Amino acid sequence: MKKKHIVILINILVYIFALLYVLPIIWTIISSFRLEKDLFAYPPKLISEFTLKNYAKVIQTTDMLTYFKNSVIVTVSSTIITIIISLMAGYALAKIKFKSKNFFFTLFLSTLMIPLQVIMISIYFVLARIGWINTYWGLIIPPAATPTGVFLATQYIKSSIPTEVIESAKIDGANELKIFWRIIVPLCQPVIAALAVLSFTWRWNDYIWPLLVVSSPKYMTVQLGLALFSGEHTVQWGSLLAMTTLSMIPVMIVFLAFQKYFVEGITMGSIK
Amino acid sequence: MNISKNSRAEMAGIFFILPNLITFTVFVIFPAISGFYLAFTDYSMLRTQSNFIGLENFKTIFSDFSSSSFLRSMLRTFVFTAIFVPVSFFFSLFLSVITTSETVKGKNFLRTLFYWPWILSPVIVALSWKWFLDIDAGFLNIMLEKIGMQPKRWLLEPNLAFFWVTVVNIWYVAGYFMVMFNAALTSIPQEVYDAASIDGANKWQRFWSITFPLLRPTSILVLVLSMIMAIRSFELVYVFTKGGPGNTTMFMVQKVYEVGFQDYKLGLAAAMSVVMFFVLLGLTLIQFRYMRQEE
Repeated sequence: MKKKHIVILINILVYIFALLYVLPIIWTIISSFRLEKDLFAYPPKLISEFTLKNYAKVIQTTDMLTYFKNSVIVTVSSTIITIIISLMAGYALAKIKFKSKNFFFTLFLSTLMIPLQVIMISIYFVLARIGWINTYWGLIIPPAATPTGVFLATQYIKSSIPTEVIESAKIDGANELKIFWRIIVPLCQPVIAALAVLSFTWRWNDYIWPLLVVSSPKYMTVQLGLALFSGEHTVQWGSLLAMTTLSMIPVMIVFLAFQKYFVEGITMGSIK
Repeated sequence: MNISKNSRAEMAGIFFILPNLITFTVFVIFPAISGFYLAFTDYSMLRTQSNFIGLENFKTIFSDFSSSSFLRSMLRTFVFTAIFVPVSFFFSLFLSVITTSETVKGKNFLRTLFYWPWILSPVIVALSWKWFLDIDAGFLNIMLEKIGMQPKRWLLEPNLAFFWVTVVNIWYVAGYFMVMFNAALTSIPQEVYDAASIDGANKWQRFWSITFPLLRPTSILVLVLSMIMAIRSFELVYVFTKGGPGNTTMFMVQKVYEVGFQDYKLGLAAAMSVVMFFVLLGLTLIQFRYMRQEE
């Protein structure tokens, strides 16, 4: 009997702690549905009427929809490219016996040692030189190549696709390209899902890369837009909170639908 | 016959890695190398021509120790790292113990809650907390006022701002490390605990003498990752405090960014990047070795 009480007490404490833990996010979401005059009322109010005015305002008076459109274009295309080129490299590094394989595998992995933060200055030169500043190309292509993607694909193909399947297809006269599309890609569904989820989150949430590429509002992504609004002299908190809440939604949907793959990506030790 | 088969494989291999190879070469390897060259020039976005100036940039870096200097931002980053790494380690271990405990109900729901911050972007995390700590309308100050205390200027006083920068960064990553610890904790076989219970060990003793040592590989990974994250940290703090008040939360990467893109001194910023590169190199090498080992 006494032990049961302790169990209940522990559970209550844990749940109070967990709710306090996510309070900053909840508070942001709740506040986005309150009028700006209620947010800053004096004496402060915790509860006030529910309104969608902030959302209407942010859509009517800002370029928010453009930012969302850009983020969708960038996230989706970059993710598709990441999947294709990671599987391609993964296939070559796992199953094709070529002499320079180890060299390239090490080269790809060694790019992990050069974080973006360290080369952003000289990357800017490259982007400017090839004319990719303020373009979708600049936003989409460079981040699509990721060592983590190549690494995950190589590991998966090496361990889960039997070499015999490939060999027998070769005997039947299939060339490498055919083997890749007809055999490797269909058998790679779990790693495709994991890469899709990881890449979607990375690209949607990314701030540094778009910051380097974009200066024109025409190409700004959601994250840049949020940072831009929050840096203004008089911050319009009502609109900003509505925009923040909206921008959480896509990743949260992906997360809730594909939770399993998030965990898989994590246990592989992938850093953002 | 054999030779042509080999060269065919070589061509096929290179063909399949080509998209990654080109992108890595153009956007990682080439910039990394040219960064070293830039570091020895006085390149500026404000002038059209640039000169090779030898070690001048490095002399500038290592002779300035004012509060807005690169060296101070580096020192600040190290102080932040020294707090961030151990606290986030033990805190995420604590979350992991909660969410794997037999006593606690609804563990999956709790895991999702604790993991929630990590799936959000650094910008969203920064803005949510900025709002939470707002002087007039933030939850914390409203609560203080309700219980009759003075509201605080959380992000406008140096020590408080540094404190919150650390808290928010830990809050952001703790769920991520928790999942790593969970994977390790749930893979420890029950028999290990049963044997220890028979020997009369209590829960606390069992945790520190059995569980914790078995978590060693995960612990090392978490420590290395968190150290790298702390040293690289930029976007969250940049949106959260802009490095302020004054320069009290300005870390290395932000300093490089501002010297390069706001003062337009790209040569000097490149030299700072080189210094940063060597700091990070050592740490990443450890991670790299670790990953291969685990493979």
